[in-house]
Amino acid sequence: MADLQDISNEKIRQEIEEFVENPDEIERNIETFARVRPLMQEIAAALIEGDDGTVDALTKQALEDKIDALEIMDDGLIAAMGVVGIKFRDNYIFVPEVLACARAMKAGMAYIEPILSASGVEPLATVIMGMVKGDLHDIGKNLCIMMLRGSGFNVVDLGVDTSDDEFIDAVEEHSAPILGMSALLTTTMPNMGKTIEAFIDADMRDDVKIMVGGAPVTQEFADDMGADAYGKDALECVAVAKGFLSVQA
Amino acid sequence: MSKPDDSSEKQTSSVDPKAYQESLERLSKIFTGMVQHADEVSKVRCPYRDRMDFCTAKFKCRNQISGGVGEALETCGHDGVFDFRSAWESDPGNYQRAKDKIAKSGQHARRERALQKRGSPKA
Repeated sequence: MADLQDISNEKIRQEIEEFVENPDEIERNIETFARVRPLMQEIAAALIEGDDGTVDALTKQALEDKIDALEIMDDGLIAAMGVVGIKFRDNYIFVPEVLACARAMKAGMAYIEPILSASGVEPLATVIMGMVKGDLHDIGKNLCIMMLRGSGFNVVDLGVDTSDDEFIDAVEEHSAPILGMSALLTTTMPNMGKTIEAFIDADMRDDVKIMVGGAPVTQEFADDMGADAYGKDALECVAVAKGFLSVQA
Repeated sequence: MSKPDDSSEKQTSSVDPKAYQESLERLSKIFTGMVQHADEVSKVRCPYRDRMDFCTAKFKCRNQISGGVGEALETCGHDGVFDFRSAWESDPGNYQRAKDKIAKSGQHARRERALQKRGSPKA
């Protein structure tokens, strides 16, 4: 059985010592990190810190050192995300820190995705995601994006305050079959309907499935606006997106 | 950050799709737990409030307290015991107004399209 001291990276040792309390989880994390290369531990430590720049640089270095892409993903990125999940569950960190870690993961995955593609592993589909015009409340959308990426979708994030033209241009540019729009305010929610109308005006409505979500949005609103589907949270967002694909297949 | 494609091109090994799928399932399971917890914790703590109690929102909020000198972020000043979402629909009229606005913009767009169609020369 491995011991905490078998982990060479001090930051990882500290993280386990300080934040992992469940004995099974302590043992599992020690076993995991004790067997992985020091560079994978460094990547994991940077991801846990939410340091996307370091994850970027170290992932690049690892691939240049001919380390297997899946090893980087499993032993560096996902192993670290496991620790992040424990820290979040036990309230040591909160949503903003989790999203920073997700951004760091994306920085690493950006190097791995071309290798996946070259190996014949393609994303499920490209999804365009954005907050509607006038809306800056993006945390729900960011959680949806994290879930979609973690489920194998390629996501283009248009950010906040997105205009009709920006949505249309993105769908066109990326040939995306799915568009997700979110709004948190009753005052900005009608802009979803306007964007859907803009897609009809641009003669592109049949080219894209549109899902909508956000706290004040309901199935009734989604139907009124002419959206294809409504998702009440990030888990439903993934289910809806996968549902679109199975209908298309 | 550097361009991702440079080093990946030098990588010679390929990825086993089945092994990748298993990795993705593990990741998805971690994220699912996170999203469920985020939903729970958001009932009592604003999701924009970080572990240092700074507000990370890109918009103004009444609970923001200006940070001290050299602090880029404002501090969240809420007592933390609330479901912030219940405050969003405090005026039921907003809901009906949004519904009316959606219906109106839909009608307007349909009317405009019909006018354009009538005005356009026949093929």
